[in-house]
Amino acid sequence: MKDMKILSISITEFGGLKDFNLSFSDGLNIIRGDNEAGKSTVLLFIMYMLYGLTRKSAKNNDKDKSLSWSGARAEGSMEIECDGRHYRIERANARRTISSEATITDIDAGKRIDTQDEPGVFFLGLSKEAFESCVWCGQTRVTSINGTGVSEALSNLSLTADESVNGDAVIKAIEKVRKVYRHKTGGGGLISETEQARAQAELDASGLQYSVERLAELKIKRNELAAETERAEKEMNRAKEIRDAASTVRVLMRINDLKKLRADIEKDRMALDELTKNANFGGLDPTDSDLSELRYLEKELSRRTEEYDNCIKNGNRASEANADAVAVARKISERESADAFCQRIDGRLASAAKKRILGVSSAAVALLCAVAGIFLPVLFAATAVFGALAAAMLVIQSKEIKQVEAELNSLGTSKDGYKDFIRYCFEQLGIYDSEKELLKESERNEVTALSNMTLAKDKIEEKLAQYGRSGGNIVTRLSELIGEVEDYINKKKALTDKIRTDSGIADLEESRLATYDEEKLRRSLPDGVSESVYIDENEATRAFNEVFNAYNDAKDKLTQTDAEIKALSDCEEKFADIQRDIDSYNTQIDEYTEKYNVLDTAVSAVREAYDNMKSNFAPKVRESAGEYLEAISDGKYSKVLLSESMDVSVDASGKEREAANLSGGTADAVYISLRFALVKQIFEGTVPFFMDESLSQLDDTRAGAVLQLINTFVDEGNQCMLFSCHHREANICDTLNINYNKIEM
Amino acid sequence: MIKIFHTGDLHLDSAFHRFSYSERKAARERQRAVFAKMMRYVADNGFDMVLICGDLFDTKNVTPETEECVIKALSSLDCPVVISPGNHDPYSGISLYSDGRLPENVCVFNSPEMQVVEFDELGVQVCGYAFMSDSYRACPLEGFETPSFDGISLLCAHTALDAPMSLYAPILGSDIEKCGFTYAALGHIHKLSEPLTLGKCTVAYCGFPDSRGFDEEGVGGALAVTIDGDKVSVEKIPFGETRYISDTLDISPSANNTALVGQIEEYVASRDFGENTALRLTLVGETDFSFSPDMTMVRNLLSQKFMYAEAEDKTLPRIDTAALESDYTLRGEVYRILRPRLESSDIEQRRIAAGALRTALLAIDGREII
Repeated sequence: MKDMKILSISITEFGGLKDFNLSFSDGLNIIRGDNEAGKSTVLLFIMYMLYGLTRKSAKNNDKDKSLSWSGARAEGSMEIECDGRHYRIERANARRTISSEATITDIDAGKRIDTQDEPGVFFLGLSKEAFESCVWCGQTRVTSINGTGVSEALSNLSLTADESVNGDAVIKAIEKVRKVYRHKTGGGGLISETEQARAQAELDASGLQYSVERLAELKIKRNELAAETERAEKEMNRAKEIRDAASTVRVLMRINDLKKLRADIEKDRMALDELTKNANFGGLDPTDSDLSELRYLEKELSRRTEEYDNCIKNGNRASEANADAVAVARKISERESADAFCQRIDGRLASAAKKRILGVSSAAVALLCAVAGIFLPVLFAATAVFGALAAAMLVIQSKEIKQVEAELNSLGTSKDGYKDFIRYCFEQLGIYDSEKELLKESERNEVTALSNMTLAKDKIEEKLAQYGRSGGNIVTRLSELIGEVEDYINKKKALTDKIRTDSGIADLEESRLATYDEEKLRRSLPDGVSESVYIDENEATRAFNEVFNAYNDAKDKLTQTDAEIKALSDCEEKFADIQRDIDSYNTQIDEYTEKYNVLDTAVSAVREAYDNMKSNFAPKVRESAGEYLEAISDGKYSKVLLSESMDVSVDASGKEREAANLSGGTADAVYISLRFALVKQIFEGTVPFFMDESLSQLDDTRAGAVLQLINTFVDEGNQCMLFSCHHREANICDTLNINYNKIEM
Repeated sequence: MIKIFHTGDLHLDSAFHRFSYSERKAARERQRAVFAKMMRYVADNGFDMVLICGDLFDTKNVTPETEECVIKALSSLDCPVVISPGNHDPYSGISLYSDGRLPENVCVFNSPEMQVVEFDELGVQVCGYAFMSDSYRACPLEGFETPSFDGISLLCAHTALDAPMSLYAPILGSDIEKCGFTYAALGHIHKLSEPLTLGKCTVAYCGFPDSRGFDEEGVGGALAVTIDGDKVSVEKIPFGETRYISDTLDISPSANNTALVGQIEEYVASRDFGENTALRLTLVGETDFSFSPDMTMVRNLLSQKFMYAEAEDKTLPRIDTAALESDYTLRGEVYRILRPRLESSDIEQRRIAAGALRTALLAIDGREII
């Protein structure tokens, strides 16, 4: 749509107005009415017709205004001209409802327009917010730009086409919320915090994962340990039974041994009786003394017999002396003693030796003389003499030696060792002489010995007869008797001693075992334990201790494992809890990330949009505003500028003046110029522009300036509705020859 | 004719980490109750055999209560039970499989190599294998020849069928076909699907017996398989006590959180969800520009009504794009910057762009950014 005008409104009921109609003309319409006459209501009604009532109309709170007074529903219609065609907009709201649908009727065509758009969008192409910020100017708008807010308001208007919207502030606001989720740099934010919490949970989970696996292993191990403990306990109990049974078995074995002993004693008694009964000693019951006597007799006989034999032997004993030596000694002793003989022989040998020396010496002298005779022939005589001497001596000594040797040889010796031989011979002679004496004595003894021996035999015979042993060799009989008696006595003694000893033992044992109940003991034996197999108590105790220790070890291990299992028992639940937390963190992170992405996208979009507007839209608006400003300032101010810090300023005859430093009226003019420039920039055609008490705070001069600007605007074909409770605007227009349509409410 | 009860993937003693401690206990108790119910059904309906195709337990840390329940339930049966340990309950990790506490009618495969157990009185031989750890990369049927048998040959296996790169005993359909089984009872894939026919063999996954997550929607159960000569019929028997439901709710009519609560209450009342239901609710539709659903409130509300609840906001703000299109101010400019993304075919991009536009407009208006 290019050109639009509002022709009339017809309010059935809206706010405080009922059945109220108003018509408008082209150009400037000054609608004057006292306070509470409904001027703002008319404006709201126009907006209601174009856009209905929405929650987003918070800026004017028009919902409450429209419904609060009567509480009845809102209803009415508005006729407009758009691109040469006439339209009627009709709308109605039920009581206390917000939503409504407007119907648009093409009056010329007589048919409804089928559109989902609100009429304001359909005809003006503006959203409600855009309408409010573009073609609608409230009573506070102009005054609010005075003071410290003027620069920002003008900057906003020039950059965002909305004086209340600061692009940088919008970006900052979104960034502030975005930062909550994630800081642009350096980490931090909900996402990072949640990721850290998740990482910690995952770390805890992996730690617990080990515990979970360990728990599974422990449970398997526990089953094995339990079985092992049970086995060990059984073994221990068995070992204990055996150990405890050892003393019982020992007692039972003692009892059995006692019985056996008693039986043995009885057997021995019987054997003793048998021995005594079967003894063959002529009715005698020989004792030790009898045996001693028999032994004595035997010994006596043996001694006497030996005596006799010795006598015989002595008499027949061959001489022990060496007969040959005796003969030699006798031969020498016929003449001389042994010493004399040896002296004689020694003398003869010595004499021979002397002669030999003399002979040898003479021979040597002879030789010397012979040699010397070569030089002294006289000496040859001496040689002969000495020579003959030597010869003679040697012959004589040789003869003597031979004689001695012959004598010694005849005796059976030689000159080497003859002394020892002679001594030996004389010793043998002495022995021989002694033997001769003994023989004589021996003959005398023989008779005595024979007598003694005979006596001894007689005694023995007598004794043998007592024992009923006659006939046969006496010695043999005696020896046999002695043997039998000895045997008998030994056996008897042995049996008697054994019986006595065993009986003593048995009696003692019986007294010791008297307190035991044999059957009870036998019954108390555990299965598999024999009363006749000895149990080494030490060994059994050792074995028991071994299995007891093994059992305790197994039990300790089981207890330890149970403790470990108990300590880990809640790890699976903790693990599951952590897994749940991780899932929750993941969900949170996804949500936060999505929120962050939304905010980040919003920041980027707003920044890009803002940059676009700064680059493309804003310069055009400022240019148009500059034209308006120049027109109403008679060229004093020609351009509307924007500094790097986005502050608005104007070109005042070549000098830049910041908006904050402008006078109130000039600031108003800049503001209105920008508003009109916006309209011009946005709309290709003409639009209605609404001002509600916009000039009420201005003095006449400023009001006049603004009215002149409005006149410029409407000269371009636009429609303007100026609502005021004063007559002043109309008066000023009259003064300034500005055409207008006055509507009195 | 023989009747076989085919089940598996019970995952007894699952972690249920989404739940609180008391809810987990209750969930595990429900699992045990379902298992007991199934075995009672077997006993009451004259089944000849039970095949449990893996993952009877979810963890090696089987609780004493679960062990007791399984022993008791299996002891009550007269018919044989064959178990093929799966990747969650490998043979070497579950002491109950090997310590002799299971009744005598239970046979557990204990080797990764193919094993065969014969039931001459039934004329059935069952072939299978065991996972020994949480993965099994080889094909168990490779090189296996089914022993000749005067009767029916069955396969009881925990496997990923026709997934040769799988870590879970990958078996090809052609392998099964070659082995000449009459019926292949499979476990591992929880989604119940129609039985396949591969050659002369009918192949089926038993599916999940009771839901444990939103990936197991519907009512869980087991399969009753009837084999009469060459004819095999498979029927699903429902046993599940728990339901996981994913749903959407268009909250366009709700203008604020109070209205939203009312709409959710109405939704819950109208659907008759029943006990032991977990709900994942996605809010969709267009909301008023200034209204953003309070998801914490929504989740708390649903948590009071369901065993477990999740909620997510996939709504779009309602924005008068026609007005913004012609808006000359910063508002309109922002809209025009975001328009390509607002019209994207990617819904997530649309949502982000719509959220960004709402944020920008709220910020421009000086209002609180939601």
